[in-house]
Amino acid sequence: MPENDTIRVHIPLTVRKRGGRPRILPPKDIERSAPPAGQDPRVLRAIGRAWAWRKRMERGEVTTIADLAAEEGLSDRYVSRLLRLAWLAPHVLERLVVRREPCAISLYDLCFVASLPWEEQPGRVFD
Amino acid sequence: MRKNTRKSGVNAAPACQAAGIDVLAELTALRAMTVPELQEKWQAIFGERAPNASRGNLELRLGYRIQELAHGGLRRETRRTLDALADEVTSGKLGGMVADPRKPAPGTKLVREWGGEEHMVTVLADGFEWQGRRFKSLSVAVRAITGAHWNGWRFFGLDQTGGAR
Repeated sequence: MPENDTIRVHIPLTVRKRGGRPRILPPKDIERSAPPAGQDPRVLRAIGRAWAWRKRMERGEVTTIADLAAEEGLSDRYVSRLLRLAWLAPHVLERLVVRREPCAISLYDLCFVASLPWEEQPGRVFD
Repeated sequence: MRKNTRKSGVNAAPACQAAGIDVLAELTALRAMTVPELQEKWQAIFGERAPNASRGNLELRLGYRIQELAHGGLRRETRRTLDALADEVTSGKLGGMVADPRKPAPGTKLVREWGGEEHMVTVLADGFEWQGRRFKSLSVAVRAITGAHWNGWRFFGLDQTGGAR
């Protein structure tokens, strides 16, 4: 320790973005002992909804977004935006839904990630 | 609008899947196609008539299919999880998978003073109870208590973003 009586405490914190907002996460080894951070329930709910819609479309129960929106009492724009979540890259969906890795961008932005090539998607969603 | 005259070889051969389709070039080509061209492409890839969908939607789903053929699709485990999630969301019985981390264990009593009275809300497995009435969400319960729109979590100091209370 140097001669002055300053004590320097180093805490390895990383600031990660979650839901578009920065959030401080404790260092890795502490994190592991804590209960898993889990996925934002809004993100899970939105993906579940989009997936249900995708399956209905694939089964041919509904053919257009307008029909779907009318049935759900939602706007076309909202339905077509949310529906894109069901076509996110498979490994991105896996990390979000199975491994529950927190999403670093807002739900709104997440919807548009689906149009990016698959290789570019994880970087946008998780970093 | 500019028409793209390039016709790539993928139309012809779904057999060359693994043999290094240039996925990025394919995706770029989609972006330049007109809607009738996209519909034609749909017919070639899916073997059925294109749905009556917007261009953005056609492009998204064609792009997905192209990448799925090249890289592989959803694993069965992920698909199962998504199915379960979809069931939970459509049935409206949230809890198993989409548990809100802010929600305390069922049976927890939330107490707060409001208007000079102490109000106690009990957390149920599928909602909340206050004075014998059941509510689907805490915010609705708090609306009944206060007559105003509150974020229920915030009212009881359970939200993580609002700082400690």
